[in-house]
Amino acid sequence: MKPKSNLKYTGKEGSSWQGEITNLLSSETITTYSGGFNKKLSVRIASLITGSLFLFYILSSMFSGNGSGDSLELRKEKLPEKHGFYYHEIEASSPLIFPNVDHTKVLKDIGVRGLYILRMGPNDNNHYYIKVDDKPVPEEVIKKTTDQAFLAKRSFLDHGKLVYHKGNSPDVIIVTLIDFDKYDEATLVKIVQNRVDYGQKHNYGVYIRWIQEFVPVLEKQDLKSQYDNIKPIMMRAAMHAFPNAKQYMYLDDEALFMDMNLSLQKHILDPSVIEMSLLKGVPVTAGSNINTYQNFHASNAKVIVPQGPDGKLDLSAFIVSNTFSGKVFLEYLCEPLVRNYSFESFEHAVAHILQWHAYLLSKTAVVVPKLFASIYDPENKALNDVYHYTEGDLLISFKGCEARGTCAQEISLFADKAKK
Amino acid sequence: MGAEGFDLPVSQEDLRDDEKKTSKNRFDSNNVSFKRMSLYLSKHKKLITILVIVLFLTSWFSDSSSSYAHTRGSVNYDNNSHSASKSYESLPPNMTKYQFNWWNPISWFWNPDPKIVIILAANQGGGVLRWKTEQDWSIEHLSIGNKKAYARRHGYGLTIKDLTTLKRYSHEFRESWQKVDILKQTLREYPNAEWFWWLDLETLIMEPSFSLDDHIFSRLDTIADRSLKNFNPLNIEVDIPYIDYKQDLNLLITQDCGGFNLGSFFIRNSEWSKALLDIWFEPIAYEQKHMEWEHKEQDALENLYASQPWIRSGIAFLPLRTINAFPPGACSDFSDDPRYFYKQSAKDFVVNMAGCNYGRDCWGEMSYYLKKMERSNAKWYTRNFFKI
Repeated sequence: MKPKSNLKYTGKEGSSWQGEITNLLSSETITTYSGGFNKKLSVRIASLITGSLFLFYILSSMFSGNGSGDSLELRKEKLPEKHGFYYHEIEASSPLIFPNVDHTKVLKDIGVRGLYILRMGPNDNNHYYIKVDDKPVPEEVIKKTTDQAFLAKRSFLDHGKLVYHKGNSPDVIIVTLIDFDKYDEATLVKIVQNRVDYGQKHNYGVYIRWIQEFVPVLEKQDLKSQYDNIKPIMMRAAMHAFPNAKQYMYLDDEALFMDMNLSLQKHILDPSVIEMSLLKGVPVTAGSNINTYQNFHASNAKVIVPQGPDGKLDLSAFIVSNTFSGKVFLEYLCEPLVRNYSFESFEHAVAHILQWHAYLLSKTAVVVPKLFASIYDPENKALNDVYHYTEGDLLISFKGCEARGTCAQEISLFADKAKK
Repeated sequence: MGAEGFDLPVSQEDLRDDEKKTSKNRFDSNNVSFKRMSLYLSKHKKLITILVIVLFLTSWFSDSSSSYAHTRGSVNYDNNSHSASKSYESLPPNMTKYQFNWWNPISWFWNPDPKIVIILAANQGGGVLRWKTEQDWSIEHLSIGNKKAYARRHGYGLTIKDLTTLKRYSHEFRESWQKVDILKQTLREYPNAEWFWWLDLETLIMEPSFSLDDHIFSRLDTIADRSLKNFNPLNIEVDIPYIDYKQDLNLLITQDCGGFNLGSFFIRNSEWSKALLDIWFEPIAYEQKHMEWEHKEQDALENLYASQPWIRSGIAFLPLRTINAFPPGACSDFSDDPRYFYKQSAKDFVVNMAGCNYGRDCWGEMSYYLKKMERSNAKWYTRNFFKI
């Protein structure tokens, strides 16, 4: 392999090598007459050959170029800590996180346009941006200011930075989105109060945010068409804000807890209750060829989604557990290609991913709506079926009230009826 | 060391004279023992010669780099095209590593439970899409032999997956998605394996003596990059919310000049991987992007990586040259960037003739690197005294 390099050396010291050999030969002539020395000579020759082979081996391995200074190792850099949409987060003092509802009117006046930075793009392609390194305003500044608009804006922007990372975290978090454009202050107070009351009674956490806080996260920043697509983003944010909780329950703003004494653990999360209310072997959504698993076991229920009376999934209330599968479920729904696909509704998107991804379906319990999404039916109050709300149910959902135009009335009517 | 070595044959005249004298004296004094030894040697001359020859030959032929000599028999392809692919054999691994168990007759012959399984994708298209030439057969033969010898040497499992049904996938408008299905299947086949190493057919393991433990898994802290900060050819956003860099790694891939490269990668047998393999093919994503996604599953993974934090939390990037070095023909627009190209002096582990099907000579490149590998890994006497 290295004839050249070897030649170089033999050229330099060749004479000495030869000298050595002749030396050997002469020593042979001296010693031949003493009989047994023939053997000695062969041993000596053999050892010489061995020696030179050994030398050759060392030389050849020495030159089989072992490049240096060509390391593929990285220079170590510190990886960023886990964070949400903002780098700077605020540790909340209590697990009841809800926005300042007093600001409803002021925020409505400011509007989304005034709350965020709007970057103008070509062809009317304007985009709201979140300032990821936005620093929360210190309390001293807030105490000094009297400008209501500034206060409302700052408290709106800082609300998303609240997290509850303490060890004594509640097991269950109630998650709700509220909208300052949809309801007036009085209704919002009722919605928030209902959840806080329930949470306090059972030592659960509450995580309520303005739906407008998520506008900059979207690609299509039109709140009307994206209303339901914000649910998984909100749930993922709740998971980040309460990393030590076990379950997160999403609840639409147009739903209320009606019996404050029923705990979620006993009423819904108990495996035997789930087992009872599981829908096994039914089409995932109306008209689907994919059925839910016949052999589904309640212990696999990492996501719990009710199916409405029409056979379609009902995402007005659902539960996601703080597990790997729960994360995958939510983050997959937040995927822009899923979010921006022309699904009829968010329910269709969820039905789609459950039908196409056996992994997610095997972790999702599809349950009867009565479990936690009993719908209020103003016309058939007497009808006592398995779908609609009857007194004694944990929850009431006013799904469809927007079409009736009676949401605010219904909410205020039932908020006071709740069993304390 | 070398310099001292050269001084051994003494050259100075006077020193030589001295030595002659002393050696003569020594001979005289040790005459008897020398006589006895030479007598003994001459008695067993034949035996010693035979012993030496046998030792020499065995060590010569056991030279692992001549993997070619090791490929016993040929690979049998499953003709049943309905079962998309099948594992053909689990190889008997290194004797020291497999668990011998009297009660399990299978374990008398090979490792029933390899911790690392190499998945080799062979027989792309199976001659359906185009005629399979002599060179295609030869590439397959070389590549399989190379991996077989490597798997046997280190006690890894090897499963050769048949890509004959590519045609069927192309009918379903999802060419090259077969990779995902094969991975799912292999994960089920080897429930106790820990890592799977996917290798495309046009790859060669250039340093068969490296074990994956030493070369990759024990060095993950220093070679695996969990973020794109250092090398980001696609300009994907480096930081998104909710990434957890403290999670276990589940997928080790490389990036070339054009982004993610799935010619050679590791995937762990874990729930994360099962979720990824299930989610990888998303019809609505593909419907929206199939005109843009040239490399199908590669682009889909890039997209998943760009938007989903749980995917990011499980992926790390290895330098291309640790498991997937390129020949000069690939990424040729970046020929001055040493990060991509195989370097023999640095003992790069694997070379991948990526994209050689597109206007380059796969067979030529394969045989060039095979020759290089055999030469650099041959034993010293083979290298010096025999031309290979």
